[in-house]
Amino acid sequence: MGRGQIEEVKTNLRLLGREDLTALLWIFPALLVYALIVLLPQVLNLGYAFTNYDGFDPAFSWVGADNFVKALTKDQDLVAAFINTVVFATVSLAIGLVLQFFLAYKLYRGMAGSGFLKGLFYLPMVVSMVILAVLWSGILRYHGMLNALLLAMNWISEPVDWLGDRTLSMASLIFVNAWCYLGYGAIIFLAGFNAIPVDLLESADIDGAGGWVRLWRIYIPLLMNSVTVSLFIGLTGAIKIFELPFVLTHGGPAGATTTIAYGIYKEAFDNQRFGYSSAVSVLFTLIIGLLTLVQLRATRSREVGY
Amino acid sequence: MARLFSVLILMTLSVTFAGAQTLKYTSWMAAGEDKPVMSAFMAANPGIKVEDEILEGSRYQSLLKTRVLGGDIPDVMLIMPDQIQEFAKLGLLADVSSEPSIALQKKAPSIDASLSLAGKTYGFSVNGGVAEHPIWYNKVIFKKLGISEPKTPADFQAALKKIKASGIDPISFGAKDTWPNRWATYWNLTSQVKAAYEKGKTYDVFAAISKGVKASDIYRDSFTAIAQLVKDGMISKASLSMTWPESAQYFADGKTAMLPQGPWVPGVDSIKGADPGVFELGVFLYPVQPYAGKVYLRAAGDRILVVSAKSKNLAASKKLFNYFASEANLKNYLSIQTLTSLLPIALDLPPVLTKYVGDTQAKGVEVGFHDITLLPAGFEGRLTEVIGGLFAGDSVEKGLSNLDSWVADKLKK
Repeated sequence: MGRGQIEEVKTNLRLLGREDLTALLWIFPALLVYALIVLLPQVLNLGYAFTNYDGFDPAFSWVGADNFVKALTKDQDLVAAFINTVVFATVSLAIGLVLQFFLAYKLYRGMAGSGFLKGLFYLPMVVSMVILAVLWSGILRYHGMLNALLLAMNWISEPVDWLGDRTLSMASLIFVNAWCYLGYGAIIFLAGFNAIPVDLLESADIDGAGGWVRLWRIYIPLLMNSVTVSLFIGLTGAIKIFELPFVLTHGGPAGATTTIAYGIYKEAFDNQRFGYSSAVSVLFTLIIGLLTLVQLRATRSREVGY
Repeated sequence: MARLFSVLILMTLSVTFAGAQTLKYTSWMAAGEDKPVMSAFMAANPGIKVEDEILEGSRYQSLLKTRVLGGDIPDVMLIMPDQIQEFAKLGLLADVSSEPSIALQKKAPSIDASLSLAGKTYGFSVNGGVAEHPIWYNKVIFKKLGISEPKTPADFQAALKKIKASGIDPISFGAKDTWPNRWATYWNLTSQVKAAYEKGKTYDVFAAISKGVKASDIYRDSFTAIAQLVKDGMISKASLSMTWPESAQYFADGKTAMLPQGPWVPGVDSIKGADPGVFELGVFLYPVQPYAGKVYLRAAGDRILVVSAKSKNLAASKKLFNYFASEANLKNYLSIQTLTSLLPIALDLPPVLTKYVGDTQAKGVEVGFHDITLLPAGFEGRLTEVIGGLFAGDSVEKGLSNLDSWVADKLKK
C-alpha cells in the first residue's frame, strides 16, 4: 500500500469518525430494537435447533445435529410440505404475474373506471391476510357462497369441496393468493409502463411495430425492473405463506395444504417439538435466502436500461 | 388547600385499589359459558374482580403455554386432562388437596388420583363422562327412512347404507377443528380393547400405549374400518371443511342424519333453535360389540379446573376455585350446558341426555376410567390429526406409522 493510499484510508476513517458515527448514533435506538426483536430471537432459535426443547419444559438437552439430520433425511411430512410450498409458490407466481401484467396493461391503455379499478384491485393489500382468508373461507366452504351461487345457476349438481379435496384445496389457496397480490403487482407493472419513454413507442409506431412486437420487444424487456420487484415480493410472500393454510384449511386435508411455514408452526405448537421446528426454520431461512439470490440474479440480468 | 385536596384524592384511590383484588380466569369457553359463574362469584365477593379471558379452543393448549412461558399465568384456569401432569411437575399448579370442594372429588377416587401427583391433588374435574361420545341423530330422518336406533354394529351398518341410499349424508362432524375426529376412535372399540388387553393386560387403550404397546397394534382395526367408511362414502364430504359449530348447524338443518359429538349438543343454540319440521334430536350409544361378555367403555374428564401456584392472590384464587367447584354451582353449571359429570352430582339433564347416560349404565356395560394423563401431552391431538388424514384418503399404514413415530419420539424424551 503506497503513502497516498494510506492517507486516503486515514481520511476515510476521519470521515467515518465524524459523519458515520453521528449517523450511527441516530439510528442506534432503531438498531437496538431491531436487534432485540428480530436478531436475538433468531440467535436463540439457532440455539434451540440443537436441542430437544418441547417449547415448555425447561429440562431439555443438547441433541447435536440430530434435528437437522432428521429434517433432511427422515421427515416425510416435511418433504410433503416442501413440495406443497414449491407448487404453491410456482403456480401462484406464474398465474399472478401474467394476471398482474395484463391488468396493468389494460389500465395503462386506459379503460372505463380505471381510477376506481386501481383502488379496488389494490384494496386487498391494505387488509390483513387473515381477514381476507376468513372472508374467503365463507365463500369457499362446502356450503359457502360460491357453491350456493353455482348450484343456483345450475352449473354444478352438487357442492364442490373447494377446501376439503386434496387437489382443489391447494388450487383454492393459489387462487386466493393470486387474487390478494393482483392489485399490488399490477400497480408495480403500471409504474413500469408509465416510465417507458413515449418517444420510444412513437418510434415503434413509425417503424410499424404491431401489438405483439411491441409487447415482446418493448414492453416486456423494459418492464424487467417491475418483474424483478414483483417476482421478489411474490416469491418471498408465497414461500413463507402461513395465513391462508392457517385459516382456510388448517393445513388439511391430510396435510395437502401444509406449507413449510405452517408445518414449522405445527411442529412447534401442536406437536410440541420446538427444537425440531427451530432446526427446520433455520433450513427454511437458508432456502429462502438462496432462492431469492438466484431469482434476483436471474431477473436482474435481463433488465434493460433506457 | 390544593395540596390537601390532592392528598385526599390519593388516599381515596389507594384505599380503593388496595381493597380490590383482580383475578384472571382463562378458559376456552368461547360462547361465554363460564361468565355467569364469574358474575355470581363477583356478586358474592365484592372485593374480588375476575377478568374472564377466553382463548381459542382448538389451539388452547399452545396458546396457554405461550402465556405461561411469558410469565402471564392466569390465577385460575381450565386445562385439558393431558396437561395436568406436565403443569404439576413444573410446579405451576397450586396444591388443592385440602380445599373444601375437593371432598366431592374424593368420592370418586380414580378421578382424584388421575389429577394428583405424589399424593397431592392439583385439579378438579368439572365435567366428564363416557369418552365414547353419544351418536346424536335426527329422528325426523330416521322416521322417514324407517330406521330404528341401532343396537348392534350390524344394525348400525345397515342404517348407514339406508341413509346413504336416500341421498342424505349419513355422518357429519367438524373435521376442520380436528378434535371432533376423536369419535372415530370408538370405531371397532372391541378390537382396541382386545389388543390392549392381550398386549398390555389392561382394558384401557391409553394405559396400554403408555406401557409400551404400539399404538398401531391398538388402532389398526379401527383405522381400517374408518378407511372403509370413507371409501363407502358414509362420511359427509362437508365434514372436512366444517368447524364444530358449523357441523352442529348442518345437523340442525337436517342435512345429515348423525352427528357424533359430546353431551353438550342439546344445549347448543343451533340445536335448540332447529326447525321441528326437519329436525328432532335423538341419541344412542355407539353399538359396541361385547368382548369377553362385556362392553367396555371409557370414562374421561374434560374441563379441569386448576389454580396457579404463581398467583399473587392465592387465597382469592382458591376462593374462586372452591366457588366454581362447589356442588351447588356445578349442578346449575352442568345442567344448563347439558354436561355430564364423573362425580356423584344429581344433575337436571334433558330427557334425551338422561337416556344416553342410562345406556352407559346398562347391564353388561363396564365403564372404566381411562387415564389420558398417562400419555405424553398432545397424544389426542396427534391421534385426531392422523384420523383426519384417513378421512381425506390417507392410507391406514401411513396413519399408523405416523402415530407410532410420534409416540416413540415423545416417550424417548
